[in-house]
Amino acid sequence: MTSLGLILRNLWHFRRQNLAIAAGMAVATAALAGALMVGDSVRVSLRDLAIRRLGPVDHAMSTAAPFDADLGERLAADPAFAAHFKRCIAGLSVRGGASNRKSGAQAAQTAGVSILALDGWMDVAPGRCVINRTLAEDLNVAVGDPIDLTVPMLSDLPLDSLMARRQRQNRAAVLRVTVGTIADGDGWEATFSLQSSQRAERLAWVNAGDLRAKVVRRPRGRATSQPAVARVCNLLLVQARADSAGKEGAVTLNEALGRAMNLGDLGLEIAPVEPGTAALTSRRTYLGPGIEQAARDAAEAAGVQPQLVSVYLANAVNRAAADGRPAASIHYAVVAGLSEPPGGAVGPDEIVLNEWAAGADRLNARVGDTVRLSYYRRGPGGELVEQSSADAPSTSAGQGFRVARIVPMAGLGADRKLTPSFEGMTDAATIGQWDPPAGMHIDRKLADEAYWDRYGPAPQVFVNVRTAERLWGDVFGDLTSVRVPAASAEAFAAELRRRVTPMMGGMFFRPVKAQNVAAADGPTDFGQIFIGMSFYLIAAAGLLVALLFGLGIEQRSRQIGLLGALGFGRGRVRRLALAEAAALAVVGASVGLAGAAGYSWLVMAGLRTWWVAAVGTTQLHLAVTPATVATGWAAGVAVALLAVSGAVWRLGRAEAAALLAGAWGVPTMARRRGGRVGRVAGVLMAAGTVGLFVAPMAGGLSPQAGFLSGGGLLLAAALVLLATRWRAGRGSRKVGAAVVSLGLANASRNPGRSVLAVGLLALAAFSLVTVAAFREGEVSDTSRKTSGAGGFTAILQADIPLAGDLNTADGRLALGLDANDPIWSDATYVGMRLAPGQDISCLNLTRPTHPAILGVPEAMILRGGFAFARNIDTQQENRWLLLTDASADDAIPVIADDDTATYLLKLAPGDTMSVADAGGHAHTLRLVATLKGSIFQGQLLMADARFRSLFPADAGDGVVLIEPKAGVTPAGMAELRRRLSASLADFAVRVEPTADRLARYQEVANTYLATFQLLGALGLLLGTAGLAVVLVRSLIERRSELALLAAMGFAPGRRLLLVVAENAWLLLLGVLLGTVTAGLGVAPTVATGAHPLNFAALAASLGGVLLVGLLALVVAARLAARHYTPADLRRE
Amino acid sequence: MSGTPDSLVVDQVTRDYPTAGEPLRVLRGVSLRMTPGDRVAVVGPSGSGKSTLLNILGTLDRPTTGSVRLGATDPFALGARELAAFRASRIGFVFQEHHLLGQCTALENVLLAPLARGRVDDAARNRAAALLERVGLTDRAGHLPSELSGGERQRVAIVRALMNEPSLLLADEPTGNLDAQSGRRVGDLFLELARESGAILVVVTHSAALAEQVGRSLRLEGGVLTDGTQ
Repeated sequence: MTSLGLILRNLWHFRRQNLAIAAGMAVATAALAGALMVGDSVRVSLRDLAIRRLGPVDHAMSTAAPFDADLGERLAADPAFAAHFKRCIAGLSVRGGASNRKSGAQAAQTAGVSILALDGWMDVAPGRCVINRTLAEDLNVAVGDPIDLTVPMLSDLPLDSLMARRQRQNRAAVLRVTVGTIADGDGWEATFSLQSSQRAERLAWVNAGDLRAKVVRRPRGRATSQPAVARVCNLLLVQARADSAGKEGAVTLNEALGRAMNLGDLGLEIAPVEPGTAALTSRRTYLGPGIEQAARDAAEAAGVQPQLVSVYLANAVNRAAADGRPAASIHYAVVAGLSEPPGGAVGPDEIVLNEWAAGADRLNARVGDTVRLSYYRRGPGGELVEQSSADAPSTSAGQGFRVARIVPMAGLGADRKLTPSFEGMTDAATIGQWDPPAGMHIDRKLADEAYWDRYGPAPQVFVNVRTAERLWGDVFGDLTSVRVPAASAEAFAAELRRRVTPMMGGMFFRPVKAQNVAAADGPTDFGQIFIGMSFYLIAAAGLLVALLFGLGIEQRSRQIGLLGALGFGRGRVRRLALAEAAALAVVGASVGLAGAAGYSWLVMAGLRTWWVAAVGTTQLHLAVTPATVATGWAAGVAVALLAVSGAVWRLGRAEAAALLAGAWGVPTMARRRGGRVGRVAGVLMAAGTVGLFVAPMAGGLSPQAGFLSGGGLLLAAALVLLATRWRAGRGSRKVGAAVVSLGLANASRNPGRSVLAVGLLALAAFSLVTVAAFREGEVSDTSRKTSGAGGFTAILQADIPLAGDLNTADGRLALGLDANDPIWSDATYVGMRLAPGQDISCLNLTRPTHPAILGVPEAMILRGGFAFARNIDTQQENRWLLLTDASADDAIPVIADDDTATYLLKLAPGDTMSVADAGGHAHTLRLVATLKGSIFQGQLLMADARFRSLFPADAGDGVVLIEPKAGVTPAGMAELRRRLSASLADFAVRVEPTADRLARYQEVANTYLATFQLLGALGLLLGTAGLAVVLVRSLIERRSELALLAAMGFAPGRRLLLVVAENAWLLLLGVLLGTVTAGLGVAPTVATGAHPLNFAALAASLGGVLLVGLLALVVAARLAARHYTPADLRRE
Repeated sequence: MSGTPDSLVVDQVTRDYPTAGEPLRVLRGVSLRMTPGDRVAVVGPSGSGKSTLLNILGTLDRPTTGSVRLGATDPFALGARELAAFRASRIGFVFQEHHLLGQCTALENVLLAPLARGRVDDAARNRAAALLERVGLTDRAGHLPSELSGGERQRVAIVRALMNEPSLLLADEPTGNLDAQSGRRVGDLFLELARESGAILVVVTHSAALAEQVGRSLRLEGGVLTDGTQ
């Protein structure tokens, strides 16, 4: 006989009971391990998806401005390339729209289409396309059907520059193709995407030549330095060898890119312009800040003094009379800012005129006269606004420029090559043939045709280059050229080549596959989510195990007392019980693993089907790792042992004499001591509850968090106090005249079991009420300024940004709309620039590493609106103004949706994160405020001025918010949306009600809650079924007692009433406790009205809990009502 | 193995149970002195505190006041672990309900006693076999309690109580659940074995016959033990 032998003997002897305990442990393990397996499966699935989507691609470089495909060949020829990488493919990638060419009800159009051309990796015949199933379904097309793809036209010139061609016909083109193949399945041909997201892309592969023919604009008069159309690309994809697929590989690749790159790849050229002079120019017109500095440094290193040039077009140059009014003017004169104007340096408030401009029949100017300039600048919405040098900030020329000198018409005084190519102007033979950009009004009567004939675009007016930078400098660059002596051009070129980097042209490789795989470990662990959702199921199983184990101990109390009487110490008795429990836990957990696999398979199937709204993909599959199996098993064993620990601990405290007498429980004196401890604990917890309720007032917690956790603590406190009262025997009421009172008194005869039963039911009611309270109701009225839509009832998203303000006639014209159509005036439009990036809303399961960012214009900041959830300390009532506050550490303020900040970014107001700008440089962003339930879940919000400095190439409005004017009906807005969608189809727009967007976000939250409810319901079923088992078994124990009542003459009906009263009281108490404490917990949430409570549904759910519980009682009652025999009496 | 001579000295033991009102005094200044080999039957009406006294002597319960010593040891001054060891090695209990583990055979039930002290070795097994033979249960050693008669179960319980050669042997109505004939046989056997062991024997019984077999009787009534000093 050994201790092990005794344990094994006990396990077998009480096998029926042990089976039930092990089953409970198995359920707990199945739920825990299953949840972990779900987390693994989602993580692995996202990772697999990320890898599959990219196919052979490990690194990618995507640029805003096009470059020559030759760069890819030079890169591949770099000595380091072959050692680490396999191949490099150049291609084109744009984002646009698509439509079928059907009409009427069959017509369909869609946006957000990824259009790619990768000859060499995905060859498509001319005139054909390969689309994926998602796009095919959206367009309702089959193989052989014609479709139109709307594609953006690539431009070297920044869209915000003065001379940018912003009209519709210069922005988008239509590529007509026939569907050659529909790519099905989950291979990269059907799923390719450089973005990390699990949502299916709309994908179209086209012939590279076809795409180039549409997207490449060849502006008139452009330099020959541009790549040939057949060579234009904006994408390089690299397949790496095994050891170079990650971050280190990208570093190696970028180093090789730096070696392979030449000045032409950045759009730069150094060429002779005048005898003895060479000039560095850019086909993008402006050199750009990085290159400008590199040119300055290169000139210094080459030992030359560079001539920095910044050229602009002035609408008018006015000589001021003594009274300040214009005395004479010339119009449409080219102004050059030079570091060394003709005749030598000039001060910041001085100006130089050439003889022609100063002539008697023009400005009639002399040295010392005052001259002012007026010129166009792009406003925040891209409109051209005339400004005057008198109004320009940071100049000392507020009163006008002083004429410093007048230079002859020679050399710099008449140098047409100072002026870069401006399409529509410098390529025109006469001013009469000028084709200026939209919004620029040229009065040809005022133009100096004679000058143009003779000198062309040669500048007539010269200022200090610093003055020029202050007057018309912009984020995309100040200088249009840098001149050096021809003799030093080669040295200058060499020094410049050493200093320029690919990043200055926005060229850098990302280890896109490694990044996307890392992002697949999303911000929220699905395993943890499902453990949270399965909490009630796990808790119910644990409580059931505790109940059954405690019952088993009670049944064996005499045996345990005997062991004590024989001299088994308390610790030894506990260890024996624990060893039995551990054996059961091992068996239960092992069986539970099989259940876990089934549970997780079921959940994954659910995520692919019923709950697909929450995850947005059907590509999730079951994936189980050994580590998770081991962790789940261990966790299941731990939960099981925790469940029984209470009974085991109490076992050691019981006196042998009491156990031998069949009295399970601690002696009365210990009960009293335990009662004091329990009362103190209960009171402390109740005090803690008050503290949690009050904390939100002090700003320590949100009201929702404070009250919810307070409600939970209050429930725990109530259970502790109840247990204490019952253990002290004070729960027993005097047995009165009615048998019901006997039943009520009996409810406290087994305090441990009763409290567990009450706790189980209270938890069920608590979770039902809290879930019902947090369910999102109908989307609130989006026309309210304080709603999540800020008063904007519609939102337009354009894949090809709109370069026109819908509020103005000029803007509408630029967009190709009928400017006078009254429908456009039914609403006010707020355009926002968009830096494309990851959707950081709840619709994206992947980790946000490069979020999409919106530029918030000043008008919207001043307008205010929306509802703020949290913000950093501020006195400002309009918290949008936080976006414009300067910070000591140069962190850029941003605003985010509160759910996004909390669950995806894991940031609180005041926290910072890092993002890369267009050139790949890291910038620190500081979260200054969050919006409550907003339409901006998917992006960060940044002040437009700061946005432009980080993303100068992302011009035009990618998002337009639409606010109906007073009196416009919902039907009117619906018509406006329809017209916008149809009229702006070339810009690949999606126009939808903001309510729809909010509803999509809410659907995700409600889907998770519905899943929680379902799992909670399973737990409730388990709990009440177990409760029924416990009730039945306890009644079996008490058969002799009930037999005695029968022998004494209690009729079956009265015995029925006794049993029902006892257990119905526990049932009611549990549901009441849970409902009341949960009700207190969710009071602030319900009070805000953001989550209207469906009282009818909640009542039905709670009624369901009571019904299931009562059913359990009926079974028990039937047992009580049966006839007892004298043999039952002898069992006492 | 024989232990050192151990006297049992019970000095003014009282036992109170707390109630809602005044505490209920079950034992009132009980004193008793016995030496090895002494036997006494404690008789008295129901509710007089006989089982309470037995539980205190067996260290299953604590006196409210007063002291109990077995030999040089005050068991209530020991820690929980030492008390358990004390009980395992110095005290043998026979209960009215026999309290055999239903899942263990007769032999295994007997071997619970040495298991309580630590481990079961060959000496213990040999002693168990010998004792079972002594009580005529050799061929029943492998049977479960459910397969034994009431008298057989009680004989197993008696053997179990004697396994560790206790200094003090306590019996609470050892024949209470047996019919007269079985009771007499078991009673005779029990007393014989007790005498052979040399242990101090305290028997609580309602049975006049058993009390007569024991020899000396003490009466416990109203918590007072009469004729309690030897």
